Amino acid sequence: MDMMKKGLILMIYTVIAGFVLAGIYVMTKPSIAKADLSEKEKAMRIVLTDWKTGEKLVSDEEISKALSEGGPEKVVEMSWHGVNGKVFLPVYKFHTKLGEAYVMVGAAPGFGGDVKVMASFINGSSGIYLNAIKVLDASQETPGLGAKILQEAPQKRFWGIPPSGLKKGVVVDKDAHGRKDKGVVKTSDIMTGATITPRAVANSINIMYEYLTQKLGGEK
Amino acid sequence: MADKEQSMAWYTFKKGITTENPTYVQALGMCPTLAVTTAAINGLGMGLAVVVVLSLSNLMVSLIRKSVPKDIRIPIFIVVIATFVTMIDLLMHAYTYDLWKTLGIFIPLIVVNCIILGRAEAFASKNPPHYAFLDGLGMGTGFTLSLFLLGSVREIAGNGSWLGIHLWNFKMFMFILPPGAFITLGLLAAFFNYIKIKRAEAEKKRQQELKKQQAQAQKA
Repeated sequence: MDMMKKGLILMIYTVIAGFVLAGIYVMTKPSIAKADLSEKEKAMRIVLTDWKTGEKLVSDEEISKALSEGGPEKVVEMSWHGVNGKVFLPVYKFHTKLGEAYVMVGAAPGFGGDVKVMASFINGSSGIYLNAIKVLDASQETPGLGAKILQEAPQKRFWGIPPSGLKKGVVVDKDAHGRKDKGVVKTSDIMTGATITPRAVANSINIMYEYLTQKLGGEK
Repeated sequence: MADKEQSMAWYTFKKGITTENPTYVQALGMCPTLAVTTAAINGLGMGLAVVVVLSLSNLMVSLIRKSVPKDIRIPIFIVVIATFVTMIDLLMHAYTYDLWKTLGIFIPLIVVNCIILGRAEAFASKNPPHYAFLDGLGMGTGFTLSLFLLGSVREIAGNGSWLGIHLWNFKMFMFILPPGAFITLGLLAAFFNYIKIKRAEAEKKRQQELKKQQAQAQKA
């Protein structure tokens, strides 16, 4: 009888906690969705800026419109040279003066979990090149080390990778092993002590490029 | 009477910062202390989140203490703590997106911070609500200051910066890596213990002097 009573009391507390949390969840759900969307919109504005001139490639209105029409997110598992990653659909396509721009989100394993990256690829006159990236999530990375990837400077190192670099595969300088082409990104000076996180960014770029060329039939 | 009440309230708040400091005296919550303090701002952010959860959970535990059977008090306290942490996680995600992103994984980790459960069990479940709240506030403040100090030392020594402001180029990376956390914590704990011992010695000397003077006065 005593056990029953205690069990009942415990149940009452958990039910009350459940209701309180359900209430807070319902209350915050629209604001959370809005905050997430606005974060995505901000990131998209960054990647849709010409990396050379800093000029906007697509207007803000077009970006908002594309995002609102994008539909629900779908995850596709992808692998590139033994690295397993993900591509988050939909892929957004924009017409710019430099050529067709594809904005997509991909992820590859970092130190503590997936590092999620948004990237814009432009199908220009000489082939597909990487315009810019924005790291969306690196919350599982070590603060002060790998998490530095969330700062602007390390991310800018990945901007403007030419078609030849993408074809060979993007690597960070620590993994370059003598390679000196344009797909090698120097991160050793700004991400000292953290090798795995910038490598995850490079891998997610390769995975997204793989998806783009395989599934969307873009020219490799 | 009111004076006694006031000084009791002040002592309840103060002890968490000084004589019963959770980090340097009680050695509680070591996991987040070592993991988060790679930079001063991380320590401050984590500490402030703990202040909120600790104060509120202490208050709630004290309010319900008479209706909670002894055998099931721990699961009920955990339900209370987890509810507050989830509530704060959702509210921060919705309304303070940037701060929520910075704190990342550390917010859910507050659930398993032993200071919260430790204070609920040792203090809040045995004392009236206003004292429980003050205890939470004091312990939380002590924890915040400890983390901020530890984070500052590690950031200055390991990254040559403080709160993100560049100070110099001399960097000892070991300090932002796990061994640096243990070394810094050990040195700071030793320093505070040294002050404590010196103070105790000074107090002992003062008492002896006082006794001597009293004995001389009695003789005279």
